Amino acid sequence: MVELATLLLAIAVILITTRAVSSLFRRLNQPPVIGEMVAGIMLGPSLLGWVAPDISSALFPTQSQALLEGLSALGLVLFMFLVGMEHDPVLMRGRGPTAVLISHASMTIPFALGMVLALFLYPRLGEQHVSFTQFALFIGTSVSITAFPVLARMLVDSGLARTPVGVLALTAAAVNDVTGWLALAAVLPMMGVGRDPHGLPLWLSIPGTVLFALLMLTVGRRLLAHIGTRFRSRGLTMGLLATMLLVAILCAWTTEQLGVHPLFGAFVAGLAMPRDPALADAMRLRVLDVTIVLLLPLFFALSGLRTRVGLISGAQMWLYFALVLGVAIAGKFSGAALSARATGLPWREAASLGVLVNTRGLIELVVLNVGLEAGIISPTLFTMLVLMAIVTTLMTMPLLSLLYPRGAAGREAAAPP
Amino acid sequence: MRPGLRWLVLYFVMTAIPVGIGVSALHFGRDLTAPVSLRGQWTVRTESTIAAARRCLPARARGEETYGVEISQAGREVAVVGLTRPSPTTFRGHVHDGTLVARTESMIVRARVDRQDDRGATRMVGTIRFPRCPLVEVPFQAHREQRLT
Repeated sequence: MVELATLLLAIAVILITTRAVSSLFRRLNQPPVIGEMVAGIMLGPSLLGWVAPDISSALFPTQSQALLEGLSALGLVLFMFLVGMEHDPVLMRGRGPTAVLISHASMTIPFALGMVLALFLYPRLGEQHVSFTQFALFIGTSVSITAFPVLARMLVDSGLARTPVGVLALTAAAVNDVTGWLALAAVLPMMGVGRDPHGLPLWLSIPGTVLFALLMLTVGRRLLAHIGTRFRSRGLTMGLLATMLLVAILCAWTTEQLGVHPLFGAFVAGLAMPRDPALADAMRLRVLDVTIVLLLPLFFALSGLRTRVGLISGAQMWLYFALVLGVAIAGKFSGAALSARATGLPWREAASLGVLVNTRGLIELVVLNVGLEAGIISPTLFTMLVLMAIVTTLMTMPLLSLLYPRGAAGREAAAPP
Repeated sequence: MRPGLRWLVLYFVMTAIPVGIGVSALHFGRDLTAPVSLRGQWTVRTESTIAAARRCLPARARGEETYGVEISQAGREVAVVGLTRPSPTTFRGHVHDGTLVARTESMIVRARVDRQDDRGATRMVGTIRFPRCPLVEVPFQAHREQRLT
């Protein structure tokens, strides 16, 4: 049993580090979320564990990591719920098919390129006990992921969340996330990573998830409409807040039981809530700040604790890394930008979408950890893919600010759809 | 072209073609093999002492010695740490077609995989050579004790 004092101290250290690094990155015109990711890695074996292994193991014993994991999962659930609540259906109207096309193209194209890349990497970096099929599926999956939560925070941070391109990016990323989790659930058993033997079989999991989403967005939305009525008459009371959080948590639990990540359920719960900007603002004031400041950094820190950047060394390895990075960027960017352009979007919006969906971040880290723990990838390839996730996330804001200066974002957000 | 049909055509082009490329990659890669795994803790048993051989003393320095060696691996690239006392030496090299070659300025380790299972090599046999003493070599056998992840 881990001591409460140790856990509290660990949380304090995480908060101090993430706030310090976030403010540094903000000065570098990067969103705070990047700073939090880097802070997480700094707290892990890549820096703190390397410089001061005793302090690291005292601060983050294995037992406390399980508790931190629970807290961070709660933070992600709340965050995704609020992201779902902020979705503006008016801006989304008529963009559904476009979002599906962009999302799926921005997954299948990098997935295919990743599998071609695996032809080169497998004889050089593959693991002997892992078949080419397993390896290729994993590489394809890992370069085709978009980090929905990170993307959402970047859009909020950059003021693009309510612009048409922001909404389309978020919608495409949401579809990407759903498809990605479903594809991952299908691909992991093929990679030899067993599904929960007591969980639902795949043939029930996917239709069950679709059915759940449809029910929530139709029947669920009608049932939840009274929340909007009560909010307009009494404001956001404790009881109403508790009801909304309960819905979010139960939906997250449902999708977890269905074999899909709980984040998806929380997001769907947010979508099913009444479309009332005042309610969304009130929830943001009451819940979002604590979530962003306290709970999300725990998730980043935990991911950092599992990352060992120091494992990569040597010119040849860096060359392989450059290849992985190039394929990941080219696949994501071309998939989203070309499909967006093909649907009639101007080049600037299409390119912006390409840049935005290239954000990988933490979801990538989650998947990579699954691959490492299952022995599908070596620690070296794991490190390369982690670095790829960081670089692609880091490059998003500078490229986006070139395509969308802040003034332009504000004008588009204010303009009618 | 109607918008719905146009969307369907675009969807097919943008997704079916990449899926086809992915399936082709799986087909072309089915015969590829990954580098043999050497990563882990090994016990190396030499037929003569390395310290003596480094001083070019072959015949008079016979006598078995045992060393603990750690091999780290990134694909074909390997680092072998050990084989000298009191402080271990790091040999860098590669593994190709079941043969390991790793070296420092004064020593060259060459070994071939003698036995392996589905998770990698379990036994290697080879020699340690010394560029300054071309007539001296130290034969050895190595057994994998523990795999590292």
